[in-house]
Amino acid sequence: MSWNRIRHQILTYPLVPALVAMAVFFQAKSDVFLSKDNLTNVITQSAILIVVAMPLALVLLAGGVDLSLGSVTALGGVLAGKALVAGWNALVVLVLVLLVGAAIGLLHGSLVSRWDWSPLIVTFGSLTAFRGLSLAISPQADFNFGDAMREFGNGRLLGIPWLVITAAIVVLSTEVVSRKLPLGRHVNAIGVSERAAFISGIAVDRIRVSLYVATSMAATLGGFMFIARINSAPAGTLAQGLELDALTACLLGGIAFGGGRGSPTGALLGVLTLGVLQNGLQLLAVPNAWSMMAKGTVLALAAGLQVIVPRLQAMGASPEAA
Amino acid sequence: MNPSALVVNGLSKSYGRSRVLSAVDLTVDPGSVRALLGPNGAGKSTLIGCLSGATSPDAGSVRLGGVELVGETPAQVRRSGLSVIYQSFSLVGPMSVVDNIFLGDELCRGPFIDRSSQRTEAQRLLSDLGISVNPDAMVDDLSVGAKQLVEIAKAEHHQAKVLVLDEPTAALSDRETTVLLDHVRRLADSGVAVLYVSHRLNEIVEIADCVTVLRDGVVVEAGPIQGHNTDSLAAAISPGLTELAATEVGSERRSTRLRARGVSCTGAGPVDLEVAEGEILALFGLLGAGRTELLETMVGLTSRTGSVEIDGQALPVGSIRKAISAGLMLVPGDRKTGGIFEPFTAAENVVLPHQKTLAGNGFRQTDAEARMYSRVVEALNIQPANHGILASSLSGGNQQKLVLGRWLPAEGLRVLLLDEPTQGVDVGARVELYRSLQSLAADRVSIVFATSEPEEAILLAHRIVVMYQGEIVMDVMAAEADEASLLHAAQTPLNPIERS
Repeated sequence: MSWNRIRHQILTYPLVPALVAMAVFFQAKSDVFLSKDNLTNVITQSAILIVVAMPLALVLLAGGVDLSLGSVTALGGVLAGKALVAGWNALVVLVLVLLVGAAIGLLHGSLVSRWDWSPLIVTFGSLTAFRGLSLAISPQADFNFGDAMREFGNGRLLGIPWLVITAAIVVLSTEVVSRKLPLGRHVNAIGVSERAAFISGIAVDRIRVSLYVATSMAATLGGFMFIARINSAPAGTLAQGLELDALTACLLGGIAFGGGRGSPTGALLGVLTLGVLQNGLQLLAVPNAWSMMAKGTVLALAAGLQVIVPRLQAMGASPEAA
Repeated sequence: MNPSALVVNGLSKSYGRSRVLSAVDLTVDPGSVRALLGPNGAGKSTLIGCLSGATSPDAGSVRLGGVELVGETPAQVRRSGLSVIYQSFSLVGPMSVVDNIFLGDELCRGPFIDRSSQRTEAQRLLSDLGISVNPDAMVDDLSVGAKQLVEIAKAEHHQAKVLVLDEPTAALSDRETTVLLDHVRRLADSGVAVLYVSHRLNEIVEIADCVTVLRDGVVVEAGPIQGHNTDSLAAAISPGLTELAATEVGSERRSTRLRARGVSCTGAGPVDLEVAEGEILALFGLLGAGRTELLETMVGLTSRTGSVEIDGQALPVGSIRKAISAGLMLVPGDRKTGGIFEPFTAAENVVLPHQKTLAGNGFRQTDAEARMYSRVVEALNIQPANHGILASSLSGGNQQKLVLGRWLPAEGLRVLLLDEPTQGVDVGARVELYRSLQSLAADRVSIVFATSEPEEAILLAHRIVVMYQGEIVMDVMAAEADEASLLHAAQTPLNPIERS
């Protein structure tokens, strides 16, 4: 690997050196940061955020946005909770909440693509409406969802938590879509210029609808994971603010708000950066108020990164040259 | 005492490893117009950036009225008397003409904007321009030509001693161009130094006193305009440019490939049009003639009435994807917003519509994509040929080749529609674009291109259709057409119908 190539990779994923630096720092300060248990803990705690942030990355890349994620996650969790308490089979319930997610995504996608409604406003409205719907369905939190759910939420397969395996499947499929399928380039193309994509014969509407379907399905999957982990489904607080965390992770990962630039890999790194930061500050017994400030500051710094990185990239020649 | 208003000395600028300007010298005297020419990518935009203060040069100096500029911001440069009018306007659309003219330099009484004197002053500036633009009109509602004039009024308000115009007539109609050139001439006569950048060489011959030609960041020619004509200027810009030989449609009987009947949409129609296979048809007209609207509605970008057939097969309304699979494809006129994907690599720009076809098993085939791109590079002579280069770093001419090249590998290409394919493209790249269109036509692809340049229509097309206010007002073989009659037809209503 030539120096140019390394330089290019670092500029594409500036969060990697940041993660390394944080790891070195927290390890030096706390000693247990790099232990296997703690790292597993970081990833497990990030699993749900990974599941919703990866498809959100695609929506953002295509120039859209989905602010409804937290409430759709809650709705998925609450519905799953109700069905599980009623004694339904967990796998059946999973398929069911995924279908609910698909329906919500179809609604968002159709309003946004076919009727050109603003995705910001539509999904912002859904954020409130679906939280309300969740509360209406389940005024009292359901809990105790059976052994299968307890195993899914806290158990492991070959030492790997089920939640992490689930997140890995989502990461893998998003990466394949983004890097290996024509669809990945088409998503970015729509974000760069919807008109140019349309003239090029790309199925702009169909792709946009399917992206909203993907985020909503991921959100209800996240809700299912959430109630498995905490073994209860409180409609009012479940996954509150998840949409902002997911958005933070994506922007941190270098995805431009208007779309077209960045990759889901960046979103994954964004989630991990947030997770490592939070975990490390917890290990150092930093009060929650301070870690919130740290999180916000990091995001603001990421905005600076989005200005600096292209300049650095322009200064060096492209690695494919010559 | 230095007689020159603008003196550029030894100006150099590099981006990374590529040297964009090397030791450029240039002077503009008060009361004279200097034309700045050069192919796309020659460094004209960078030079203008250095003059305006938007770009800081690596070496050399810029003197304005004898005072050297050192790291001034664009606002400070403007206050010292140099105004730049860019291709993309710096006007705020949803604000009035008055507000735009005084934006950032408002006339005030105490802390408050003095609206009445602003309005009076704006009226005075505008009437100096010899056109009646309502000072209270929203800029969004103005024509491109009127916007350009508002820009000049703004520069005049700043009492510019040096005025830099970057391709001011690229989007103007003939009449608007005349008004603009008139005014530039008048400004120069009143003592302003003008630096005039344009690809339209006949304007240059008309308006410039002296000329500087830039190629690859180096001044290759500088001197008075005397002794130059459009041919000698074209040769200076891209040496080795040979006259493009016009091709003939073969004499054998050719079948009708594209047939439009009663096509009507917002801004154009009703239009009846027939194009034979292998025929090159020019849609000539001025801005607002409905050329763009007609092309876009035929391909299915906007809704329409009437029928469009390819080889006898009717196209459904409003489905661009069905049009593409029937072999009808569009190279749009707004390259920056509707054609090129700037953050993508050159290769990705070309293979984008074909990735699905290439991906036989569902996954992208990067090798096949690279091979497809190499074939297009070879056909169109895209420079640099390197497939990983970002489209944003290519010149306008090469970007246009990418947008055109996107449709070359399409197996079913039968009719190619192009909207102003050479706008913002330098002479050298122009000829290459013309050649590739001619060779497409030789392969029996039908070509329909919109243009506002009569010489381009006559040079490239077999047949020319002139549009005015959305309708076809003239239909003539290119061999029998001349510039004057095309321009006349393009500004005359339909009655009486001229046919030849």
